[in-house]
Amino acid sequence: MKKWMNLILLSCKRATELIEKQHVEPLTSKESMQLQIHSAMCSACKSYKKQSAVLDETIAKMVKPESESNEVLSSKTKETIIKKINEE
Amino acid sequence: MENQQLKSSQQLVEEWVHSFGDDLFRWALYKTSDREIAEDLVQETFLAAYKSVGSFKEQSNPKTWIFRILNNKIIDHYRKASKAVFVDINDPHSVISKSFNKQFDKSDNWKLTGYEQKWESETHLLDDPDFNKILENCIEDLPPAWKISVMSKYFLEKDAQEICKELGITSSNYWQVQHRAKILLKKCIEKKWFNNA
Repeated sequence: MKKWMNLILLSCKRATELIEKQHVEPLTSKESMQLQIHSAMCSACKSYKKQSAVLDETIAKMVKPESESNEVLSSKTKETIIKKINEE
Repeated sequence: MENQQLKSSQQLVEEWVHSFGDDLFRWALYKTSDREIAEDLVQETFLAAYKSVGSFKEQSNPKTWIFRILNNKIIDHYRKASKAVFVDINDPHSVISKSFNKQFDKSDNWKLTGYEQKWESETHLLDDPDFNKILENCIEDLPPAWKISVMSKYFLEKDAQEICKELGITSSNYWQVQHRAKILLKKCIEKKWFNNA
């Protein structure tokens, strides 16, 4: 019964896969309908969609703009590079 | 005469290390967010530049030329990681596959944990520095290749289709990685955040 239901309604594994897929390529009309029905019935997957968006936004914010950085290449590494070039 | 030529290309690249080293490092660090990897990439870049300095045309801008080499090294770095990730995905016994499959029951539906409501009741996670810290730790806990692959889309600043093209993967490869990684991060956050909250 459950397997048969999955065919029409998708498993949660497949539904969450499609949630990620739609960020990359459009779903087929069948997939999109299946996902809609599944999400309407499954609160855990509906919640996953939000969680996935929270993860995306938080990670995107973590990546700091380059201009804010005043990092330098350590003089030790510079010396190593120069030494290696001279050994070549 | 040949010796003279050799010495001058060494001197040339040595000058570049001093004049562009910091800029290259900052760029590599920005694109990878990992000091050790960034240092390695810069080192490889200068060695590659030295080896092919013969093909460098005096009239072209050395900084542009050497940044192009670095950018290729950065893409290579992400390409290698994405290869390693697919070895994990295709192996049902890999740590990642096992831990991913553990989240679902026999018919591939969620094993409910009770955390679902907790996610729902959190509305300001994005602005919470503690949540950011936990997510950062969870990303750190992923195997290195996974960490690199998850971050690639933020660092390469390209849309998914372009990233797939650059990394030589199909778009279904790409969302499979995103899917698994996110489910693992979700599990990690539930363990470290909601469990203690």
